[in-house]
Amino acid sequence: MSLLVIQVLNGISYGMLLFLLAAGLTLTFGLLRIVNLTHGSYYMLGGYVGYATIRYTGSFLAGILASVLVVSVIALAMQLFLLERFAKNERAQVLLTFGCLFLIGDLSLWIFGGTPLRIPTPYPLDGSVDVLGRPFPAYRFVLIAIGLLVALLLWWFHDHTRVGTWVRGAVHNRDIAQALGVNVPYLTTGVFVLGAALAAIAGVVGGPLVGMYPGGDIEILGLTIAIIILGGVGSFGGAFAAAILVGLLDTAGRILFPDFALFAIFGPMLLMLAFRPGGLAGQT
Amino acid sequence: MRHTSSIVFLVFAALLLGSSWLLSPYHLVLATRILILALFAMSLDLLDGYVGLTSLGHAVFLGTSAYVTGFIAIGYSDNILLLLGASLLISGCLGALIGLLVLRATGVYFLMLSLAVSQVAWGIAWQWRSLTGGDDGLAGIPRPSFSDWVFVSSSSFYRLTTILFLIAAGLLIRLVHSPFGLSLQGIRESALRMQALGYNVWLHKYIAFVISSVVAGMAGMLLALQNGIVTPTQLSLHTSAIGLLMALVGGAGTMIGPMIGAVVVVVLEYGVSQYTERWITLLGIIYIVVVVGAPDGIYKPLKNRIVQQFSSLRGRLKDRRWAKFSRH
Amino acid sequence: MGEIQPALALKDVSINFGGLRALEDVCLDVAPGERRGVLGPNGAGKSTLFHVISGVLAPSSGHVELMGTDVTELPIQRRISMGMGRTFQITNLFANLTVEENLVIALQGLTRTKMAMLRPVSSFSLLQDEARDLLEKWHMAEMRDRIVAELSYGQQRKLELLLAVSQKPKLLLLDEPTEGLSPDETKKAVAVIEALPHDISILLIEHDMDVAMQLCATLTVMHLGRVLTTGSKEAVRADPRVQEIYLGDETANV
Repeated sequence: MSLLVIQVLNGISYGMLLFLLAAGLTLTFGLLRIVNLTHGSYYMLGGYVGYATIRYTGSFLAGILASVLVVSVIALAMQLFLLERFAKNERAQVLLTFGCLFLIGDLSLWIFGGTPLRIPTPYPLDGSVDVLGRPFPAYRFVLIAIGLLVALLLWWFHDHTRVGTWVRGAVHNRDIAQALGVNVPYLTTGVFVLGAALAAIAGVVGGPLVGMYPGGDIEILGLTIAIIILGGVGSFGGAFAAAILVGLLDTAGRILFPDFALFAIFGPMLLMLAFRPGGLAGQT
Repeated sequence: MRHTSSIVFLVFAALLLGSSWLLSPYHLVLATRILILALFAMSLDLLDGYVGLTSLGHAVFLGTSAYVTGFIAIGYSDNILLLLGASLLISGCLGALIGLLVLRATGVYFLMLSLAVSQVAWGIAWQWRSLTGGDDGLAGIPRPSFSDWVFVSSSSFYRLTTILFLIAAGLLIRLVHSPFGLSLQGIRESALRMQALGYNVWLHKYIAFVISSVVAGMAGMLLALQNGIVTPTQLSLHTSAIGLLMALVGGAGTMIGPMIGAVVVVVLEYGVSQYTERWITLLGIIYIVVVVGAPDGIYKPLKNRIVQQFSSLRGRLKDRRWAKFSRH
Repeated sequence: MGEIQPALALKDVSINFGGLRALEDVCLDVAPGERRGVLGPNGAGKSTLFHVISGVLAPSSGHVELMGTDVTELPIQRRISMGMGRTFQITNLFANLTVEENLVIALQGLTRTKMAMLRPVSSFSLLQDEARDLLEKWHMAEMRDRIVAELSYGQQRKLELLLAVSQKPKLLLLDEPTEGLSPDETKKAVAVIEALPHDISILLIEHDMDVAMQLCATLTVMHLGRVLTTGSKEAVRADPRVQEIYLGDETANV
């Protein structure tokens, strides 16, 4: 029984990490109407930058700040110089994020090398906690807390602030929102950078858990896309539920059928698509 | 005018085959790789440039066919006809199955779906070590044979690849210029209009999808046979991405563009990597530059330039010929 | 005594979008060869009606009958193959293809030729000739090789009409064919529509009352998703209810 609880907690904490990414991608998709293929790159790069910063400063917080800063600047540059130029041409935008995926991936390989890296769990969170008689990494509780906090903040922002209303309006209909006085280009850029920042934070915060390695950007991108499809593209609630589900499936998969663990995640996603294309949230 | 393209094709075919006696083994290996990747890129171009469906998961056909080829060649027979038949059949069936799922979507959703599907395949290949060798891959794939010939030397394999390439490319080019090909372009431009003109849009897309998967499968077979090994990378987003990149850099919707793109990629991969390891960075930069500066790719503007020069040259030649007559 | 089947019959067609009843119990009969105008202020449901007739939208209740056959469950392309044709309010052409290619796609649409995969389009001489002849007849031969995106709005509207007509439909749905055209272009468009063969039934949505009156003998007026009245143009013109709903809508020319 206690083993089950441990595994469930493992799954949920991983799911929370995935939610950070899924939320960022959902934000971007809502306004830009494209899937930002560099999203996984932001995560990986954020992790690498965080790692380097923590190595030289010893401060986990500094790591988070540095990664958010670096990734946000890159995202801002991408949006302003590349994506905004093709504001109505979605295909060109996807292709551009595509090119940047390659670019960032290879440059990361060059700068940080090919050896998998892991961020050390920050003190004093690196201890273990007693869960039903078994030791459990305290840091995973921190992840759960962070995930819940971000979820709450996003929900508050989306549903209860003026800017959130603008975002909702612009997602629903760009042109009308613009006509009503919302500065859609600024909003789009802001949201884009926010999504990138979330991915960067996920990269650092997930560093002790998952780590960074070449190809990690593409792997997490695939996983994140699976999550937003499962949850229903465009829905935060769906993304949250799907992320937790995937986290649990991943953990279950690793234990029950390690040879097919990845299938445990993508299988349900394909089933969902076949029978309920709107995802968990039910919208089409 | 129609005959011009046939002549061009024949000249091209002759050049390709002729080079097998002129190029060094190293260059033959590169040329083979270019032809194989060009096939893959052309299969993607059919979907993206002509139907308008951008797929990020096409490697699933390339890779699966490669693995199947490997299994058969290692375990049962290296007869080229058998291998060809098997890989075309398997990728066709896979395409027929996957098409049923992914063609429910368009645009972004199609992109994501196709990516997810190939990730499933990649995951299976990666984790099912007992079958695929996992990360280490499936190695020891022999070169194919046909009765007494074994296509072991770089020149003989190159010739095999060239013949298969010419057949497939020739058929594809015919396809895109046919009424069916025109219908595909109509669908790309406006699926609703096509329906309002009596077309069963889904059926057209499905057929194109299956054809595309078969061509990608042929490329996969050749890749496995050339390299002698198949790894999960052949099923990854990376491979799908490079394929799409080739189609787009050269110019989508042209069938010739992907061939140019394949040349660009292989040249960068092998040529540039002698000077720097960062050939992917360079590829990424070139790609971004092309999307920003020449969104139609390299081929179309280049072709227009050449056609213009050619027709003005013809014009001048004609004038000179008439001038000769009028003097008499 | 055989009853002549109406070219189009709508029986109690309703459609709901969430809580919005865009069409409510619409009944409409168009006789073979009839020219019927559909009028009404913005939001009356005219385009929605066309979408239901052509199959773009499925009604929540009711039936659509084409030449006596119930087509309510049939997809768009099936209805087209049964003899329906339509144009769109917002020009819907193959923008990056040439005028000739646009027309060829339309001409091959209802034939087996469209599935031919190994011969080039140019080798189908019957198809090519038919396309060229039509372009000549419609005075569009000079723009044969021009990319549609480069045509003027008026020329695009004309091509839109030609594509639908080229398939020789028995029932033609024209959705605001003169929308956005200059007075001169409107006159030309009206002449073209008037010259269409009289065995084609035409259902015409028009904002411009004068155009509708010129082309159609009978008019159906819609308001808020319902059919207000159907009658001869004189009767409709004189109907005070019609005057009332149009007074509330500034964009109409009563």
